[in-house]
Amino acid sequence: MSRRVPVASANKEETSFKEALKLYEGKQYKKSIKICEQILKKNSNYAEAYALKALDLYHLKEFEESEAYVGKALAKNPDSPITNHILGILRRQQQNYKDASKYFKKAMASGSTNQAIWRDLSVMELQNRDYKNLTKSRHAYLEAALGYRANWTGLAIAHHLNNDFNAAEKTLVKIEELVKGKLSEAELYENSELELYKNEIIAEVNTQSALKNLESLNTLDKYSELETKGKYLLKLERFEEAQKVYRELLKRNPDDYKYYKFLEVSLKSLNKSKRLRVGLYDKLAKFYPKSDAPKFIPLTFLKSTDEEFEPRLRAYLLSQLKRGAPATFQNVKPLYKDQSKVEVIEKIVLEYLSTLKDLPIEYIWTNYFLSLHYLRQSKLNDALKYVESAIDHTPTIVELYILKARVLKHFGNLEKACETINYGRELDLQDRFINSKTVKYYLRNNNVDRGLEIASIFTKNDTSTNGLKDLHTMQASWFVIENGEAFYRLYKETKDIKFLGLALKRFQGIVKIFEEYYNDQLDFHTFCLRKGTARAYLQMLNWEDSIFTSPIYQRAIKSVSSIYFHISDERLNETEDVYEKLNKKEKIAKIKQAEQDKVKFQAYTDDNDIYGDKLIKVKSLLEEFNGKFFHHLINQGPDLIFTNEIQFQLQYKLKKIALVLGSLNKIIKADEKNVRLPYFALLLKFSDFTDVLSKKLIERGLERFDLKDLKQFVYGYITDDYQSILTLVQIHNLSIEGLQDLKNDILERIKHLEPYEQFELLTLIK
Amino acid sequence: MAITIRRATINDVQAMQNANLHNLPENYQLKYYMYHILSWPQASFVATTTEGPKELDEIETEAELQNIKADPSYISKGEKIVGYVLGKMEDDPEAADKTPHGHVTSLSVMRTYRRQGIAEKLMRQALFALSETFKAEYVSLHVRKSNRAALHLYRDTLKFEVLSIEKSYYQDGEDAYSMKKVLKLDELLPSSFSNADEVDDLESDLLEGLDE
Repeated sequence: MSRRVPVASANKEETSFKEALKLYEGKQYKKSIKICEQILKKNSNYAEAYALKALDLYHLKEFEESEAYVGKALAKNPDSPITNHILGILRRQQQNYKDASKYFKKAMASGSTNQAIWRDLSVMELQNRDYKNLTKSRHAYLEAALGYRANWTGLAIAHHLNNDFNAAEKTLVKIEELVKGKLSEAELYENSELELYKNEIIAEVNTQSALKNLESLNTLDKYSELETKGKYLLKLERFEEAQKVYRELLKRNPDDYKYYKFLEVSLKSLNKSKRLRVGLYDKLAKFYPKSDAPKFIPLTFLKSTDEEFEPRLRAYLLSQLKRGAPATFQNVKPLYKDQSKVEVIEKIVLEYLSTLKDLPIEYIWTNYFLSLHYLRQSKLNDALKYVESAIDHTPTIVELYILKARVLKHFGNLEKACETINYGRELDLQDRFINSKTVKYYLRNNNVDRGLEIASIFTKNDTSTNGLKDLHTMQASWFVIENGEAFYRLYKETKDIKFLGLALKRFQGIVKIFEEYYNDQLDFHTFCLRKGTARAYLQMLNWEDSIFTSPIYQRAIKSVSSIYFHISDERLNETEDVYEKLNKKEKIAKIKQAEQDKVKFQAYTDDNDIYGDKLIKVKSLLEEFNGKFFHHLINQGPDLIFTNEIQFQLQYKLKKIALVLGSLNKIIKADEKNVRLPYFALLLKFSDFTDVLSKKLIERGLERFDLKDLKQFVYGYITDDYQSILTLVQIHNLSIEGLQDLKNDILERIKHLEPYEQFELLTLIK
Repeated sequence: MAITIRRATINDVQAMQNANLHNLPENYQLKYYMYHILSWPQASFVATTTEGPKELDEIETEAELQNIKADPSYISKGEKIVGYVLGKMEDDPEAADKTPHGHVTSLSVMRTYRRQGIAEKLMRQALFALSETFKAEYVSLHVRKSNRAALHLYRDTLKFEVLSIEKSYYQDGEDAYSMKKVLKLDELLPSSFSNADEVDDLESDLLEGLDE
């Protein structure tokens, strides 16, 4: 496409355009626009000026107008390299990295000579995990600037990500040769990191050569050198050398549990006699008397009936109780898998307690220990008794109130638990830990206002009435999710739909936090190349690739799915007026109150949907759920049991039977004894799909289950834990013929649960 | 046991942020933790609980792996972060002193895990790493004037010196002690602070003389 413009005038326009670009870079968007307009007045075909104006407008938050100018720029000349570059920048700004990549690529394809675009493009390709094209752009950028080590590292990483280990190694070797003998002091760390990175690549192909290479290195990171060496030696079964490496590592850090394990593997002592192993740990304990591991590990492999067990356990427990370490119980908790050891612990500690009349510190922490010990075994009355003894003795220790509140929570008495922990909080107002714990209790008790009020003592509130914005900005997911769950419970209690919106709003807050976590990687695609920290960088990519499968994210999705399924079942989003049942006066009062409360509930600056109404008042709820919440989990954790449990229910509601069965299969593949399976199977079996195809699919999908005797089928999956009983409740609620008498069994089984769990389940039974 | 001290990795950053938010008033967005781990991967450490020893052939099923407590302090089943130290090198181009030196950005241990020396162990690892890997000649940090436990740890246990008091260093107006410790690598080996009577010579047979 040719533009017939006089050369002289074009030059003048180009000069103006450069000025406009400069103004944009200096964040003077309005002035930049003015010049763009002047250019366009003279030459309405100047596509680049439209593009730049679009970018300026975006920064001025004129989003719609900005898009209009994107359209104009493309209409005038879709092949201009500069236009494409600018539009790439705009899309990147909008975090639309796929389109940004597209425009950057087009810019280079249309003949741009701006080599920096290759770098920008490679960053987009990394962000999009488009590794196939990455090598090309990294290669091109390296060609353009061979003098920077970072560019070589960038290409090596691109090869590595495409599993071309050979090419990656070659690239790293080449630059090593180029810089040999020319390294400055400041470059030594980068060099050291890259030597270890190269070693990691060699190891992908051959352990033997990797070991040889490693032994020739002298890097700054001795931990990595030793840990890697130990790993190679074990893999090559060179145990004698390996044991020495782990002993060296223990000297550096005698508190890392895994070194002891690997030492034993190297010494081949794991299947030797317990006596020998005890002797080994006694030796190690002499070398490292301040370390816990050599003292504790023998307690795990000795049997409770072994003569040595009790005296060793006693020594271990008592030394900690004497010191008054609150976590003594946590330290022996792994032993609680073995009931016979639990009995020995109980005997030792009770005996010890009876000798303690005049030793205040020991007395307090021993009672504290016993309370945790009984709590762990759900003996709540004993748990309460011991923590109260400790409090009676010394009523000023914060930890005791944390524990007492926890016991009360297990009793189901949240009200009292809140009072108790708040009393503890007031003993030490400087401590944020007890403050956070207190907040959590108030939220659990659905006292959202009080929880937030207490949390706000430690937040940066600036001009806000409370710390809600700060907690969101600082990504305090623990608070945001508890807050959301509290709102959801408040809805269930009051049926006030306002709380459903607020709950969704908080859960969306969790999504937002995780999206921030994901987008945070952007700058590091180039930053790490400069630092040379390629190993940490690659770990980061992996970590980001499953960030949305984090337990806390799953926890949010669990509530969100339940809310959306509920709204969809009850068609709550179709009610025009949420307060239709109220009379006019009440309605006005409600609306007024909501307006006043806005400042209290506002989680973000510039939020035009504080109550989350827009999340509910949508046409297609299930699409909203999928598009705003669930898709991240589908992308990153498609095979997780959790994902497929939700997917099953979602697709069931959407009546997409093939997908329903697909998720059922994935659950079975991951865990064929999954406790939720009988519920899902029966839901399908007794569903009311009438079309032939669905019926046929279901029939085939259920073939694998033996459904002759339904009761027998169900109980094949059931144990006596909470999840099992929950499944029984769900099946009971399906009211299936032949399974009507589950209720008595449920009530019987519930008795073995803790009071607060009993209460939760009872409220679910229809 | 139950507590392991080890180098922090990117997989730990969410739980570190969570520990920080629970314990301290100075908070950071996750990106700042990422920045530490990706700039100085050797300089930060965590203290975690462990599930107890697992035999090597004990591979967790997927169902078990998914059974992680949905609490942001957990990084895997039974592995909870109870303390961390976030270390860095001074990288401010405006900094007055150009000698390579380290800085402790943040350190905290959950209240219910105190009094077992976790903070000291975390710090010893960080000091060793800053010196060995990054050739830091000294390390500096700030402590709230009211934080007596921390002052005790740095001044008495770890032998930091108080350089000055910085008025209203913290956002809430509290003063800070500015502290510094000169690092000498051969004095920093963490296990040398164990008060042990015997030292592993790395040569002798560890199993020698032990009853079968």
